[in-house]
Amino acid sequence: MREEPEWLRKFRERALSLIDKLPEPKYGARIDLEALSVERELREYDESSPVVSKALKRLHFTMKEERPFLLQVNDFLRKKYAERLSQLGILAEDIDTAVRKYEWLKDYWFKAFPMALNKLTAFHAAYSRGGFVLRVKEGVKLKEPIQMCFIVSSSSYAQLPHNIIIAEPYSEVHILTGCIAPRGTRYSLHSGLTEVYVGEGARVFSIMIEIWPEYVHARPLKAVKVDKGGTYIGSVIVLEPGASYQAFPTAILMGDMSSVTAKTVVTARGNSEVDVGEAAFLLGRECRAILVTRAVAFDSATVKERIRARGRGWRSKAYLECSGLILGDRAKIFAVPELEAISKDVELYHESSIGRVGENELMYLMSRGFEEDEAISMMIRGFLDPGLSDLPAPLRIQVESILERVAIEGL
Amino acid sequence: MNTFLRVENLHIRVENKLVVKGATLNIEGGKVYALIGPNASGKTSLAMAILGHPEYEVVKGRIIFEGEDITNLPMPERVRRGLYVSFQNPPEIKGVKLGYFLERLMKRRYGKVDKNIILRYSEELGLGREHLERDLNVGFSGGERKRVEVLQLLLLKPKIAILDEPDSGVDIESLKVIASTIKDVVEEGTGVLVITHYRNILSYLKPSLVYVMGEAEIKMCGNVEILDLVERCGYSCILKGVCERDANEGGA
Repeated sequence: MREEPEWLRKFRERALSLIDKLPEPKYGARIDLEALSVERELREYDESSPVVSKALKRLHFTMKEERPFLLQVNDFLRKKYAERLSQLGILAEDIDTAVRKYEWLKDYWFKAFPMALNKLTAFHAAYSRGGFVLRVKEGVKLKEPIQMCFIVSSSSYAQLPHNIIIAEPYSEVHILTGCIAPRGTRYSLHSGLTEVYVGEGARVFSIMIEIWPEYVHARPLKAVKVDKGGTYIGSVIVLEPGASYQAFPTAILMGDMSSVTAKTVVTARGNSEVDVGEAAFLLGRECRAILVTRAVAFDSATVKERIRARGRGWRSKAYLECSGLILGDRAKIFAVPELEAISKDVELYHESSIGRVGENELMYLMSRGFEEDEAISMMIRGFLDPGLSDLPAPLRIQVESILERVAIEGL
Repeated sequence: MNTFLRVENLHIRVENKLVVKGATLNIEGGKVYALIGPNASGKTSLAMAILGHPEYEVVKGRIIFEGEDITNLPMPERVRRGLYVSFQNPPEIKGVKLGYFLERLMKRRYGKVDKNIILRYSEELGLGREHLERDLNVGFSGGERKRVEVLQLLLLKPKIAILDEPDSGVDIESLKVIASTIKDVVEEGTGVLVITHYRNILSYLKPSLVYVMGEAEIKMCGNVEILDLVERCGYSCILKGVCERDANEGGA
């Protein structure tokens, strides 16, 4: 039995008692939670092992001396340069240690994300293991991205890390997260739950890159709470969605003049079932939200794109966009934009489109000597690119290199 | 061996309609040729069929490039052998930046990228850094699009180029820039066939031979004086053969 503080033990007991009472998750393919193990002997890897170095290469991670790095393989979290971070005023700690050390964590435990949303969220709350806490002190700004990597290398296993990011007022942090499983991993679940608290005037930039093999189900759960004048800018790049992938990160703009830009780009192949998008609640005055989802569906993949904005705050504005490119003969894309204005003085817009690669454009590129595959890859890169703008330089470079891979290797 | 494109008695079908019913022409490296003719006479279809566009089906005749029959080769293969065909209406390609596109083109052609060359050539054509940062043709004026087509010609230095109306919708300044670039490329050995409706560009380029197309056929060829004839009596009378003798006298 794990040694956990009283408040957390009680919280977990309550979550456990709710699992059977709660409904299945509303979105995404159904997962058999009972077939998954949450407590088992797992291998530990360090960053020198081939499993890890291969994963980092596929994620296009650059390891640099000055770049902080957190790595979790299965349940084991390792951190590098955490001391340097603490000198800068950033606390980086694995969550299992942190809950024993810091009483204040309970004020951030499922305070952005609702625990009793469905079976899966309660399951997560009951059994979560691993994850990290990142707390950026007031006024501290770090432009060098903090890299984090989550690897699932075990089958019939549920990886359930709980991550908490706190950006105190007027701080700034850039985070690059990679989630991956080695090829050959059988039925398993990755469900990282991330709660982000953006303080007054703080800015958080985040990119998440996900690569899952065909039997892995991914359910990243994420909620972001933004205080007055705070900004959250996040992009999720799902290169390989595995057997099924579902995510609906939600930003809650609490404070006046707080803003969010959340973008998701997905390329789905095979029989993948993907359900992605973003939501924003504009509660404060003069809040801004930009939500963008772009999906490319090959083969027989199915992609549902959901974007939702609920506007309440005076003079708040949201712009939502979801578009899809169908390349597979049996592929399907659904776009579901939802706008809810629950007060006047709110402006909400959306744009959606689904189409195929333009024949004229394709011919033009081929007339310049590009093979069909190459020309299509260039156009896919071009289609996904606007979904990834707004990122600061080091993160942008990361995205460029990923897109280049799409363009040149055709994934 | 001199660079050579030979088109023999080409018949082209598009969506079950015969759009070219006999086109024969020769293009040698280092020379300029013109292809003129009324609208809908099959000029663009001929260019597209030589390029290998799948919608333009060759039902009869052959295309010979440097002694090799390329009639059934896929489009990118032909381009790799040194053929370039510019588009009359190049499409907008969203998300693909002009600069990135040219880099990929250069990588494909030469195996390496030299951004300085790309910038220099762009500037020679009056396109600056800001154009390279924009999506290919998106929001470009007619003249800018034509310059982009000629910029690619300059960058690729193909053996044979067919330029489909590089001068339509282009102002006089642009026209000079475009024509002088074509001239430079020809001097370096490229054989160029210019499809046009206007005499202006041809007075810069001084084609050594002018082909006239009408009623889906190449009806005749001759030297530049054929252009005077067209101006004097129009296509209809030439194509009826009324002035044929005049043309031949002035021609080869």
